[in-house]
Amino acid sequence: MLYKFFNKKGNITVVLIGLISVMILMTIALSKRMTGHTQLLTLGDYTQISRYFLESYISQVMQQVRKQVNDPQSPLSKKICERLDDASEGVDLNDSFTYEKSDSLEYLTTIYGNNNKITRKDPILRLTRKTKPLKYPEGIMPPPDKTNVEKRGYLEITCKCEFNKREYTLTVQYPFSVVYRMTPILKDFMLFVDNMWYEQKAYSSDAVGVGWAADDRINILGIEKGKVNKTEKAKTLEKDFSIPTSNYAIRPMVLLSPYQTGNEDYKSSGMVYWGPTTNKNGSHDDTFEKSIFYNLSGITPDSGADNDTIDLNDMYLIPKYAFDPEVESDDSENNTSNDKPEVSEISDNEVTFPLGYNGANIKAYGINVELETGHQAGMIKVGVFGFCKEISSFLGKTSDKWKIEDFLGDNNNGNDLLKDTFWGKICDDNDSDEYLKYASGIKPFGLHYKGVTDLRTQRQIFGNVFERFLVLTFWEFEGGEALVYNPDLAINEIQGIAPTYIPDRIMKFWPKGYREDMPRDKQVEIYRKYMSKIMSGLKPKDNYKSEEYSPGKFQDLFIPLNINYELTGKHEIYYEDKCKPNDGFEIKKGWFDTFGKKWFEPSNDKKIENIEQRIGRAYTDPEKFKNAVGFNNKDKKQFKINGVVYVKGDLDLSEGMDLKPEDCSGGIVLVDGDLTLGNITRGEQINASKFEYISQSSPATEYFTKWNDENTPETYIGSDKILTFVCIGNNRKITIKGNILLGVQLINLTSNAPDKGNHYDQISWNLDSKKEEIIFLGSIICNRLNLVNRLIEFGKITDSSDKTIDAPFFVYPPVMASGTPPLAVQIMENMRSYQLTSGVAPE
Amino acid sequence: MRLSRKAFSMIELMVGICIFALAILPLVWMSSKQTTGAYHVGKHMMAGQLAASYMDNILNRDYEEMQKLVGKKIEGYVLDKDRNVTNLMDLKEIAESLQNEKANNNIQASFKNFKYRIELKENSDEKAISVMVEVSYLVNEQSKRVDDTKKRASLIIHAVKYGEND
Repeated sequence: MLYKFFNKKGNITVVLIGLISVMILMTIALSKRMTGHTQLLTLGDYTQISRYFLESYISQVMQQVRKQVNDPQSPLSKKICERLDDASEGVDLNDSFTYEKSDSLEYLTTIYGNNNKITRKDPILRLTRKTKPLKYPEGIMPPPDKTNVEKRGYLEITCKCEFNKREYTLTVQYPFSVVYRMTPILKDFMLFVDNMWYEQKAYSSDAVGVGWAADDRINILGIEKGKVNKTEKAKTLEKDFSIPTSNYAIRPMVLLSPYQTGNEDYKSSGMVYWGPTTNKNGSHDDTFEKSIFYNLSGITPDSGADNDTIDLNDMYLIPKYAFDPEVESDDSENNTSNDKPEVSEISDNEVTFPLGYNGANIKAYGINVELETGHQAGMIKVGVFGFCKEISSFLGKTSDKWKIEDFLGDNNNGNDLLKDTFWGKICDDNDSDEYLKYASGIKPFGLHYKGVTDLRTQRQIFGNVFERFLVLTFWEFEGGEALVYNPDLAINEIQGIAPTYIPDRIMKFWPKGYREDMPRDKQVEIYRKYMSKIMSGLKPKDNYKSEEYSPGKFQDLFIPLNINYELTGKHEIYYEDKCKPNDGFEIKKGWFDTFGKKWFEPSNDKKIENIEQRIGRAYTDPEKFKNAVGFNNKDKKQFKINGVVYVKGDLDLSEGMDLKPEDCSGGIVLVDGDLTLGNITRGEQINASKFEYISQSSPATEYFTKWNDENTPETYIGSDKILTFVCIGNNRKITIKGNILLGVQLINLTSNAPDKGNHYDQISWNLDSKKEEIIFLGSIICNRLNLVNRLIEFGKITDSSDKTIDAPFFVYPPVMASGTPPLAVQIMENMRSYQLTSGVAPE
Repeated sequence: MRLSRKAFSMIELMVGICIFALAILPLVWMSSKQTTGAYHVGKHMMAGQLAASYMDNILNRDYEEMQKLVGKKIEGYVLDKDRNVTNLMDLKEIAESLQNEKANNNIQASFKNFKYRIELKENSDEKAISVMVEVSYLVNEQSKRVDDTKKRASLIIHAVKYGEND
């Protein structure tokens, strides 16, 4: 058998077949292994290709999203900016987003060959469910329709593609926020200076109370013939106020609205705050010591040229009701008539006073009151005088006939007037009658147009601000006598003091409402309205007790500068609770004075959400900021903020920029350093020398109109184009080196409380060499204005001028007070999450 | 007389060896191919990683920075310094920073003949820049014609970066 086995002929064949089989199996195994390597490598390559394709796709979608989110007409912007009521399921944005194909991206789909085409699918956009509304500090209350409008969260973009039978998905999330482009509440103010009162403070001592005369750095504008007294220039500031000026004239700061002649919408003309409104205890009355006294600019009707239509006269600000012009007379022995005498209303009505040299008449506004009908009548003349050179000449100690004491009494006469430190200073100093010619350096109500009785720019003034003027009462009959201020003088005690027109016949003066049977102090209160006095707050020299000097107690001696336009012109003090901007935001009492710190300063308290939570981009290098917003573009300068931006370091924009509407996107720039600004014009060359205050048709008015007119889009400065520059940190400075700033809000509000005598300039104009008129369309918000230096800076630009009114142009753009403030959508640069997945492509 | 078959003859042995050799030849060839393939896979992966890092470096720049690179000649050996155009950190510098001689030598040896080429083209209408990154390596490390494109294999990736379009 063994022999037979070994005799078989097919052995080698079997061995060979076996060997070959093994080799084939090994070959197959090796081949598979190689294929596996190749497949892995191919998969890796495909994934890499798809990843970069999807990243390019995401980049393109982001480009379109960034373009659409800040286009107010686009559905995507409207969807993101609408109120966020419920984000628990996220917010789908696909219906609002319009995707446009890109040639570059489409080319990328075929770049690897027709057999390796990438198929792109539509993108998916949504806001994740972590989107939440931004809150406000406790003292700022948004209206119901504006809660949940500002928000932040994550924008999620999902892009898909198919490549070689596999589907790849890339999902990214970017943080985003929706914020207002302007600061709530503050945007409605044209001038907000929460420590303005400090500029009427007595710097030379620790005395509590308002500074007067030489310490008054607000009422420093010498007035003559209704305009700035240029003949004396700045020497008066050096002489009277000890302010070194190097012989420059000063020019006033006149706050205008774009509507030169009347303005129905006072809420859109820019409010004014000259603070403070509360002290640390939250009480209003105790801050009376920090009140501001605004000397009304005076004019006497016969002064000034006949063809002058505009002046700085403030006399129209005196409310007519304050003097209650209806009076009665009673000659108890001979009065047979019950007719009331004719009286004239105050304001624009001329009253003549024999106050001039050698008995010459001087005219003023006031009331002529005839006291009797049917008989030879006595006349009471009540005249109101603003502060002007004419008054100081005629009423001061230099007058040859009348002295101030003849009308206002001396220091021994009148308990209340004694405590008026302004009056006291006039009496005390030999030259202090000069102070009668100085009116306020700021004119918040614009200009006065002769013959037009409507108030000029209607504007609300917040804070304890009172208007100051002189009331002189003169009894004219046979030479006349001044009726001296005497708070104790009652009508039934006139005998022996008041003049008579025939012997033994006493002329009584019965103001409206007076009755003989009313209490004496009430009689005195009524009569006191018509006495000669300085209409101002009473500032004590000694023994100040705040409860005795509250404005409510001496209403006939305090007339607030602010006007309640809804109540037929009644003058009232306004505090935060009366601040009602058009957009519906409200502010809690006491918050005007803390708003700057609470809103702009970073806080360690996580519950506080202020501007810090609204920052969209931050730059540690100001040059990178300038590159990013387009300021450094050589061919076309741009300034696109689109939200809130933080810049660390001093920011120098002194090169200036001319911005067409398409080159500018409004927002807030927080500068953690000093800021220097050059011109900011809006797409057209402006010849500042052509600006003049003349009439409604003056070149100035034409510009103001077209900057505010939506129907001229090439020149219209909309609310979404307003640029807000904020200096944060202590002792920061904003220096303006350009004469034209259009559509700008400057905020410098986070300085520490002022030290005594510390007059550092938070905002200043440095235009000595430029010598071109200032045109400022915007708003100024700061702790301290340091008005003296500002007016000197304005004076340095032009020294003499034949213009009707020589003053820079400060205009408030009404768009800033819009009821629907513009929003900006900020999408951050840094990605929050990145997720790339792949799977088998669906069939 | 009968022959007794107790061993293989020489010729049978020779034939068997020849057949075995013929059979094993493909296996050896395949094994060699596989080794080469594995080598290429490694190189390819290294090239892919390099390309990805170059691409990420370029894409992470601002659009304005990328615009400065459009049209410029950006190519060279990965171990060479390139400070003129892209300021990309070269591998040589990375290797030297490791302060490990062995690792340094490995990197130098591994990336010796790797080259890169970057091209940027701008589509200003769309405000988009197309980026192409190519990393190539020698197929045969022993080849002396290192710049001959036929002796090189490359990996190319493309991407597009979009700037903010006003």
